[in-house]
Amino acid sequence: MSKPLIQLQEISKSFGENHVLKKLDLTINVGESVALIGGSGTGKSVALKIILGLYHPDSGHVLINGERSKPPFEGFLSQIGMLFQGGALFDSLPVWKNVAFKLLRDRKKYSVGEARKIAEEKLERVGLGSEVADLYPAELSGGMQKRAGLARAIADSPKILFFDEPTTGLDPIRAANISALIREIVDENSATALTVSHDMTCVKQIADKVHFLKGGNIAWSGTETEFEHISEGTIYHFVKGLPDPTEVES
Amino acid sequence: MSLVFSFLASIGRGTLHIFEEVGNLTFFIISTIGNLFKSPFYFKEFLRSVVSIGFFSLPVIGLTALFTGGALALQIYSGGSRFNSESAVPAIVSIGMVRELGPVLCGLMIAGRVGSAIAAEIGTMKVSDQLDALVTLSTNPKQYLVIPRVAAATLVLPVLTGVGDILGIMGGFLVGTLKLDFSSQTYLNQAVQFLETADVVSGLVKGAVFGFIVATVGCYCGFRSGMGARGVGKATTQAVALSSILIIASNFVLTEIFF
Repeated sequence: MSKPLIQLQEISKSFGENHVLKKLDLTINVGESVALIGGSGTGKSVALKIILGLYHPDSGHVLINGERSKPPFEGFLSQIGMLFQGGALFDSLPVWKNVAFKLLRDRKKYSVGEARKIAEEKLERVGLGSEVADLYPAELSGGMQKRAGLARAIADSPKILFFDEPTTGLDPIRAANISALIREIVDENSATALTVSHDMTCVKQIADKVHFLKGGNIAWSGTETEFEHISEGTIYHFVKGLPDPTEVES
Repeated sequence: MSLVFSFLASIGRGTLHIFEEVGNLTFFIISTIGNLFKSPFYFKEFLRSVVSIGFFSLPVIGLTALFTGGALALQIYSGGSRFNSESAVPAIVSIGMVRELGPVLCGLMIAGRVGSAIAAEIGTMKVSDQLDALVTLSTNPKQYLVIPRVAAATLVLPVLTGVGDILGIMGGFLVGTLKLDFSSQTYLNQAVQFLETADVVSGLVKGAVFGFIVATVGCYCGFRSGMGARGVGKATTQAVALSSILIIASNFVLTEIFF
């Protein structure tokens, strides 16, 4: 059996007195689409940023392809695409240069013309016409920025994709469109994906496997089918948006 | 008793915070100098910075130098007339502008205009995840954002200082000839006659050092910015205050060296 692509082993991370992650273990295998869900402040985005080397864990190890790695994970980062919650487009660059940012860094492989052509193709792919290519991010709506961010994430057709709250801030129709698009892209590229989300509809559409984060660790794990038929426990209350009887309200 | 302890504790915390900031800034400066000679060098970002720091600062620097030169001529005339040294106005204005006021004013104006803008831009990039996005796009944020700005400011400030020097002397010339009854020929002769190459070089070196300080401190404060609009605002204020203090302090050290 091949080694897991990403493994978090007993990862702990605190911010001051706030212990966000407590000996978190997480495994993502090649070709899997995994969703990390949980309430606000449970450390989903922190776990994602630790995988990307943007945060250093207080203790524990990150294994990439079975090997212990220390940030910056340069080789790993060259193979990934990442969609940030707010799009995180660069204000000083037009949309097409944002999308082609990685391609323009590799001038031996792509000329400016080729990079622009690919950027326009990717913009079309996410439902933005080439007419937005020369606009600046500030001229786009929030939803359009998110789609441009998605175009940037898939610009060089990466095999590993990360999505941080891909549907937050979008209306239900756009959210459904983005979720469907992400699923399509993941399947098309046979990519490995990790999605952090609050949106249960999005999770059901995107993920093969779901992990529920609570109290700094994984409280529930299961396949998408098991997730669909969940009928009890804390995760049931979370998914249904019901108050959890096991939690004492402070 | 507990009041005394909490007072002492607050002094201790403040002192530790100052040492921490000094240590972090020193480390940032050392790593910036180290990275200046590493690849990749983002030439387009460098050119963009040259234009925004250099070209767009010309009106501010020019007007500041022109009016300061004029005011300096009036003040020196007023002081000099008390011991019959009015004729020293052109020489003192030119030496004062080139050695001291030109570079210092230029540094301070750039700290206000450019240092704050750099801190605000990088701070905003930080709070909107753009710095993290750079990392995920296999780009070192410091190499991409800091090095072009620091290189541009260090190279451009001596040029701006030179422009400021000339316009400052021109300001003195205008006041001297139009108000203080100097003949234009006499004024220009005296302004140039007592000026030495070392005066010009020391002023330009000061300009380069101040440029390095403004850009490095601006970038440092941007990278250390807190979250939200308040954090970015604080980083911007800190960038201007810290770089202004460092400019004044390093000006003293450099003047000692060139004395």
